[in-house]
Amino acid sequence: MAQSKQALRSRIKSVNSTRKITSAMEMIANAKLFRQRTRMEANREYAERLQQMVNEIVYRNPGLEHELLKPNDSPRKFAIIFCSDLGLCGGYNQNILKLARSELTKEDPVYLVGTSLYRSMIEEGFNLLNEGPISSDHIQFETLKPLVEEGERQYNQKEVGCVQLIYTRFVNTMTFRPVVDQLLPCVFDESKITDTHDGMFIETLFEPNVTSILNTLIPMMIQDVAYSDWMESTTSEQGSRRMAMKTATDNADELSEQLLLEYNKARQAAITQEITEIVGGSDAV
Amino acid sequence: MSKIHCRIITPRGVYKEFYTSIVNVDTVDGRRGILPNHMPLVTVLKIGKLSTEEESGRQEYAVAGGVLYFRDNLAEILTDAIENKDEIDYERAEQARQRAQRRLESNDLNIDLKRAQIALQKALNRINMR
Repeated sequence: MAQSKQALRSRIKSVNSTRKITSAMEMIANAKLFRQRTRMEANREYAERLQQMVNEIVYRNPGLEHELLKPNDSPRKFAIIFCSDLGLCGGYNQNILKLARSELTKEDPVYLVGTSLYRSMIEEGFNLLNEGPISSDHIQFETLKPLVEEGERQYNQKEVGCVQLIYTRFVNTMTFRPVVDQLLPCVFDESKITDTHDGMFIETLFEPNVTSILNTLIPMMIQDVAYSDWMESTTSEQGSRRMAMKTATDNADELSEQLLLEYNKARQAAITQEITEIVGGSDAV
Repeated sequence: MSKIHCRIITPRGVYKEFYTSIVNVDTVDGRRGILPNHMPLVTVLKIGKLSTEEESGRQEYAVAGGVLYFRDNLAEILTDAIENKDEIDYERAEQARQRAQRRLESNDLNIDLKRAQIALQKALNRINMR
């Protein structure tokens, strides 16, 4: 007999109760994933319009010189990193940390949003600007704004050569990819220009002037990019957690089935043994 | 008469979409009214008021700065925050005003003057809507 009936029974019980927890977490992650996705969709239009406008203005004014468009030669990178508050979400946090290690040097100024990597990043000696851990839950547009503004300030004073975001891109519900997004200097994508007038530019008034419009638009745009990247990160986090919990639940199911089989075998063996003993006993009489 | 199709877009989604016969905005160059069939225009909005003539009558909004893009009778307003006159929580705005003022008056060197000034402007803008 492999294991006693008693021991098997208590293991089955513990596996089943763990399974209950993981499957509840899966369902919660699923609901949160859905909510985050709706928020992500809501932001999409704002983000698209802003990018379109900036692209259009830059495209229509060739030779335009703007501080936030020109790369400067400081070797430092300013980065905002998004991770989660809670664990149990598969490789989500570790993948971000790995990317951060390969992208950044220890001197680069970094803001970390999310509490789970806070300790390990300090231990590894990253130059964290945070005064304390920033929770990645319940972030509003306004929470990220000062972080981005700080990056912009350092960029303008040429303390850093670029401003980056390290976040997890939500490819689909099964795939999440840690990526680096560059906020400053702005990079332009001509494919985003949608001129409805068959390539013919209609004259547009820029008031007061193009530079001051860009002065307003670019900060607005990068703040929004930060916000939408954060949303994408949390969506990925929930997706990643859902997947991890689904695997855990499936494993628990499998384990509980195996244990039950073993338990039944043990039970049957005990019965057979008892019968043999009784039959043996009656023969003797 | 043709009307302006106005869309107000915030990071949280489309705030409102409506038709209006005039769009009055506070731009960095001063207050400006835009009538239908205006030529294409891109302008920067400062913290101020937006007023429109909608089907439901005259409406006023407090805008926390942003950009207006006008073209083909479509006015798109991109802004961080916008509130209708009736939605404003005046008590909260008053608290924000006091907080900002305290911060501006304190001699603490660590405070961000520019941010405190902007906060004060936003609070005053809301209060002035009353």
